[in-house]
Amino acid sequence: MKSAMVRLTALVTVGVLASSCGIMSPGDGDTTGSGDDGGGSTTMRVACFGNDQRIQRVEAAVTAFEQANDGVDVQLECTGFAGYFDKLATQFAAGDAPDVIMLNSQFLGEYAERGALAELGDSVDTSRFSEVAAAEGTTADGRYGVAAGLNTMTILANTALFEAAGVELPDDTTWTWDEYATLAATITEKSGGEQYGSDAPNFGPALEHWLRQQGKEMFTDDGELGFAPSDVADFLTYLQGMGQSGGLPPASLITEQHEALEQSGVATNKDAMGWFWSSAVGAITKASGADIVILRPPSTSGSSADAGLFFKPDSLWSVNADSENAEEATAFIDFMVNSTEAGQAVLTSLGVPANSDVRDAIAAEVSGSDKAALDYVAEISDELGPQRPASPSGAGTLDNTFFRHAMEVLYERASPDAAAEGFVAEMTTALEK
Amino acid sequence: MSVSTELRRLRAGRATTRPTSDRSAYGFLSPWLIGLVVITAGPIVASLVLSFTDYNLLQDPSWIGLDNFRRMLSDDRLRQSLWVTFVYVVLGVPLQLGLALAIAVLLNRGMRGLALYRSVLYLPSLLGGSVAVAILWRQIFGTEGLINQVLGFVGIEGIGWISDPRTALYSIIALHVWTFGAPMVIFLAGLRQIPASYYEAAVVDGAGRWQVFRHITLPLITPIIFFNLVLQIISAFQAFTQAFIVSGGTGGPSDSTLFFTLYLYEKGFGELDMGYAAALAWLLLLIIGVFTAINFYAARFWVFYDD
Amino acid sequence: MTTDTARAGDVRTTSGPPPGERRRPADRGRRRKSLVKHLVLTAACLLMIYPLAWMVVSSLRPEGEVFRQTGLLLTDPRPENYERGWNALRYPFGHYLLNSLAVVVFSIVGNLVSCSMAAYAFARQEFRGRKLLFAIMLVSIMLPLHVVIVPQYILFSELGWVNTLLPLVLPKFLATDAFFVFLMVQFIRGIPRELDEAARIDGAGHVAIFTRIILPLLVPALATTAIFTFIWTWNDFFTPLIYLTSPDAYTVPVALRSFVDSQGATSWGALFAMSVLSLLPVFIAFLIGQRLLVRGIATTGLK
Repeated sequence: MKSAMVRLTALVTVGVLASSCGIMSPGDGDTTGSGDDGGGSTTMRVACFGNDQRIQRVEAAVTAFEQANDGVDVQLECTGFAGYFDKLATQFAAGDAPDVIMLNSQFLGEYAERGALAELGDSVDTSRFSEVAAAEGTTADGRYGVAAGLNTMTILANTALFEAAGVELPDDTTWTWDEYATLAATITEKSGGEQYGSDAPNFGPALEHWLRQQGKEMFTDDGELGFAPSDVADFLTYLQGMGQSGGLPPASLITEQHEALEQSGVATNKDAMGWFWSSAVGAITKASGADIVILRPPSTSGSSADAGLFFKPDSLWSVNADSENAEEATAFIDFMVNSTEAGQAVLTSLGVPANSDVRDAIAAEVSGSDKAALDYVAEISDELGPQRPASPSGAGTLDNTFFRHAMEVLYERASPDAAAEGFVAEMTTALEK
Repeated sequence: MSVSTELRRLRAGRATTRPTSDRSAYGFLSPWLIGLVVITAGPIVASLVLSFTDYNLLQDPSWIGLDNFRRMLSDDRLRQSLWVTFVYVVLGVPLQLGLALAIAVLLNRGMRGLALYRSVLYLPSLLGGSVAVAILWRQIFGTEGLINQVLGFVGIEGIGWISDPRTALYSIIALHVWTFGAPMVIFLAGLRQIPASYYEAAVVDGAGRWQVFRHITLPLITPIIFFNLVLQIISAFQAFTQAFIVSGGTGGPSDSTLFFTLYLYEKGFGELDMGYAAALAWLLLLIIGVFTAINFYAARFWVFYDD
Repeated sequence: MTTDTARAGDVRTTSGPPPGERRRPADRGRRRKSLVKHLVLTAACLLMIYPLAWMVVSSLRPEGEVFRQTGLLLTDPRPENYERGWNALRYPFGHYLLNSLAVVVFSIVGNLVSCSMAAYAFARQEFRGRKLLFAIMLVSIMLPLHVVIVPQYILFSELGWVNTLLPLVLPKFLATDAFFVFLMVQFIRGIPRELDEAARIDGAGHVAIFTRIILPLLVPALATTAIFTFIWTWNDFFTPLIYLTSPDAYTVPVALRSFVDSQGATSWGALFAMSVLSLLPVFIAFLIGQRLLVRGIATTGLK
């Protein structure tokens, strides 16, 4: 009886042991193995996010890098966007995060301020970047990331809906917020309420344009909020007005369209205009099947030179502060952003290249809506507003928090003043953490 | 009541002696005990310790005593998430279990196409929480979705059920009830375990259908009802996936579906405030613990064990 | 399906559930009742089938039309979505299906063995600290995963097990799914103790009682455990995402997420096609598992 018991226990133990002997381990079990493995070759881990097409493009660039750098073996650890940052934070907590990591600008400040990232100094060449693009990834303490590619906020207009409503496309170099609102309301009216003139403005970025046109910024250089509740209340009052005049769909529709790009009103041919990052042009065009044109966001003054346009990196490359391969890591980043080989591999899948040489080199190789986005970014390069201060830690939640409070206004559950107060109070607490 | 006499008779021979402490029990328990010591206990204790710290995952945690718990007192969104979760537990669990039990009893009676019905009824529970499924549920409860198309036939103009703050939570509860397959399967398995001899005895005694259900089926599956109740309450308090996919992880619209664990996740991973998230987790553990304890206490009065 | 129906019919004669009906002489009323019952069930089934039908229809829609068409009407089916989806990712989709299957199989075996053992101890044996340990077991599932995963990751990382299947399957061999332990405890307690006693008188020890008496009678609970383990493990996204770093090892949910891009284009047709495909194994597993569900005491002719 006792021996049977022992056998049973042993059976389980054997099962456990058998599994731990690597019978069941897929792929390479060596994850802590950054560093030399004796033969002078270095294994470097690189994490990135995006859909699989984009990852396969990055992979092609990595292959080119490995060929150009003998003895460096790059191990790509890429996933979809969902959960990417959860995984990254967990890896940092355990001290086994990859050497090179892809971040977005919301999280860069978070990671930099908390000492997770290596200061890059001048190790990555940004001389062929525009000044504004080069400044992305830097904080008051130095450089912690390099833009992998650039996006900018655009208004995508569905020309089919403009035609159907018998409305001319606006002149996007001169239009104002008021004209935008009027145009939106007109389209809704002319369609007999079948369509709407405008998607809800992509909340956080639209607010940022609005603020910059008032000579303000999202954040100050000291990492505090760069605006007062009344500034936000003005913008929310504007949105509320658009909702009331019929220019925007009802709040519940906005909520439903908020998730995937292809679900948005412009993509489903329900809304004539919407706010999107330039990287979305392809997806929207493909989903709607209509002719989609890129417009500049409106301004307060009536001149797009004052519209406060800015670049936002699609993503940034950074180096883990604990990396034992910092040299190889910076060489990798340099290769990714400055070499034409890498540029030709990734094209615009990481946004428009910041290096103007690379941008020119790939111009002939992209077509359709990718080309349109590339041209647009080149076109507005001279019209940009002042450099944006870096996002401090705690800024990562701004877009979601603002969306929530703005929707309270559109659902008519809060006044613009109350929502603005609530938003500012919540962000202030977040930044203090 | 003759049926209960019958049951009593069946159970009578059982008052024999039970063995006292049994060392071989630890042998049977050994996998679980090893798991507890090696895998489970560490993280539980760690999360308790972290709840007294400020921990952003990137830097070492720093001790801040009860600050996280003090912060909860003035946290409006926490209060909202507690409210949402309570409503979900109080409505969702009984509705889902009631439906699951009713259908399981219905399906347990021999009938044509039984296996087919059983499989089909389980379908919605198979779907999980993938992106495609998220879109599916949003389309069904959306402004132009199935629900409103059906309502349209009878001339009612519906609203965006998941995008209206007044109805979003109830849509998720409906979705939860819809996936009653899991407890149904457990009830079915429980019903299958009732020895045929019990029913035969009852038939000999001339019991009616309702009497059989009330005095044989029901008492004999009380352990399974109890199990479902305890576990469904625990998992309802931890409800995450459905709310996450339906609201795109935001708990919106207007925080109307801000489930407790959704808020906890947002704090822990979204804002890298893992210390506070750990404190929230222990608050949840406390709440679930109290509910479970009450459940176990109350079980003495209504759960019937055959041993 | 026909054979299964036949078996379900057999069950009726052994477990003889509707004794009330047997007494009723009039057959007409009974048949009408049965018709109503089938009508109600059919209506319910339509409601239950709708989500899956919608998924299948969506998987056949032209790219992007998913969001423009809300009904079930399909005018222009595109079966090539399946071919595209199968080949869209780094590896053919079958690669991820096999990865998932490996995790699932080990998880099921682990849960069946370890949870039934623990359940037997809790349900049938007396030992010091039984109540306390049982309480601890329940408490262990009361903490949300998102808080426990970080310390747990650190633990597995220290052991060097990240990017192996160990963090995904080893816990199952150590009965960490208290859900199933508790489930089996409840079922074992439903098995009459006379059986144990009789076996003990015949000289059987606990191992013999466990393997020869309890386990055979526990089949419905074991089937339930297997089905649920399959479904939950198959659909689990977060744990494999966190623990698996090389794309070679990704499971189906992780692979499915990589169709989606938050800022760029997503191939929805391919995504839906592969989502439907990935439901197939779960459904088959359920069909197989549920046959075992009906083999309870009722059908084993136990007195």
